[in-house]
Amino acid sequence: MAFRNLLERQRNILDYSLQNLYRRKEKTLFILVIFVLLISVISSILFITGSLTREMLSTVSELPEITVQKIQGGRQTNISATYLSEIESIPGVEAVDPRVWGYFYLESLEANFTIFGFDLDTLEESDYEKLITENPKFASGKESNNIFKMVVGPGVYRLFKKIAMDDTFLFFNPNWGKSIPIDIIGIFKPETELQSVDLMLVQTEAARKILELPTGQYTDLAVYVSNPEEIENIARKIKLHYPELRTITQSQIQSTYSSVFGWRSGLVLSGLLVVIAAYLVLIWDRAGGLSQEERKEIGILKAIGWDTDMILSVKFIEGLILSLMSTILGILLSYIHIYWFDAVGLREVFIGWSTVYPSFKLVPHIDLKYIMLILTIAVVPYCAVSIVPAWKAAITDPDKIIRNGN
Amino acid sequence: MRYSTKLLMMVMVFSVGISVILIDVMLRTEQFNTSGALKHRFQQIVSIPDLGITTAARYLRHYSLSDSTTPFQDYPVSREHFPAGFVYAPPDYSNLSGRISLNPLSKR
Repeated sequence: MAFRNLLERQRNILDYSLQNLYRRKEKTLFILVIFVLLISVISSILFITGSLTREMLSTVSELPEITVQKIQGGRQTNISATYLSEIESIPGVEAVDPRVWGYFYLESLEANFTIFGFDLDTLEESDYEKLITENPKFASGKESNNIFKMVVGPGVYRLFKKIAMDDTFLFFNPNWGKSIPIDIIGIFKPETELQSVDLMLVQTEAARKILELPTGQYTDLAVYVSNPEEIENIARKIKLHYPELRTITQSQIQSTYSSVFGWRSGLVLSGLLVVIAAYLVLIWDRAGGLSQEERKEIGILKAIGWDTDMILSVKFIEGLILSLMSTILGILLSYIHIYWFDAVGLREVFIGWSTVYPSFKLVPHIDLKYIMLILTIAVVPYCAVSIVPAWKAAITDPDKIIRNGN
Repeated sequence: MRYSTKLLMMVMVFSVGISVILIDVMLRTEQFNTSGALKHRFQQIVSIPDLGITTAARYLRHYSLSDSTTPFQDYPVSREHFPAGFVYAPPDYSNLSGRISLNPLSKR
């Protein structure tokens, strides 16, 4: 019976708090909208950066253990084939793969493409089945002995379709005198779009011609090391023997990805600063005190026999309902924004001036740690600043408050 | 109807919303895991890193392979020329032998 009474008492307090919020519905709605906006901005940034980091880190283990670049005059330059056998002879090195890759800027479309030289004949049948959709215009393209063939990313194909070059693309540079036609034998499947969107996987000999790479020169070297313990040592050896070379290890790329959207990134920092500033204004307004009407109300409640702790409970429940509801609503809205509407509005920040870019179909990355952080930052201080002015009013003589209103 | 009953109804609506989102998270994660093998094979074939989320400049497209002076060389007047550049924190340059300083010689 006593428990039932206690429950009914709490329910009455809850009713009174909700009634209070409803009575000042303009103010409640205003705070709710501001709160939801703030929470959704910060959670949108956390969701999108978390998802992109997850995508980046998901395949990092497949990258070569060491990438070797040649630096000349502070810039990366072509690397000579002579390094190949010398690096291969370092104990512990499993294989050295010379790579031919670079970029092709297509002025008419203002688009930048990545060209990667690869011997397409070495691709297995299962790779074609899993990764590549055949170009209907070159159904048997993969069997041809033609060296002028390539597989393109979905973004490249979309652009080429617009200019009616979805069967054969003519690479042209005024210096060459004539164009280089390359057959598009396949398109990478949409599952790999985030990585392959701007990619042209061109037969190595043809890629060399397009990138104007002289014989015996490569873009960089991919060094494969079987024992992970030896990677750092081998990278150090390469740098020691050839100071003109720069090495980038797999773990270095991993650490780059781990901190890519860290506090030092402009996006996170600017988002956070705006949200923190707006939140402080909201808190400042709340902590500034109660309106005359609210103080009078507390005075009346005290006069008719309410305890101070009951008044504080009412104010605490008001703050808790408002902040908790806004936080949940804000997080739900930002999830819908990022994952159902492909981050429209925010993705443009990442795309920048790119002409070729992927659709932002991302894998959700809901980090419980961040959800708890948002909840703690949003709910706890708001409830605290809701209680303090009410407590100040509640400990003042009711007579004084009702008469003077302060 | 009492206000607390209305609140309970609202909590139920919120719970349905959260459940829908949780189911969506599970479905999308499942889809991501299914395409995992495919992505791994792609990465083995195309051994260059990074996502093509921005292709405006080479140091943004393959930013984990870019050297620390690349942005300056692409556009010497501005520290960051391409708008998407502000999104990323600088890559791990821990393999560089020393810091790059742009102070005038007299100030050193």
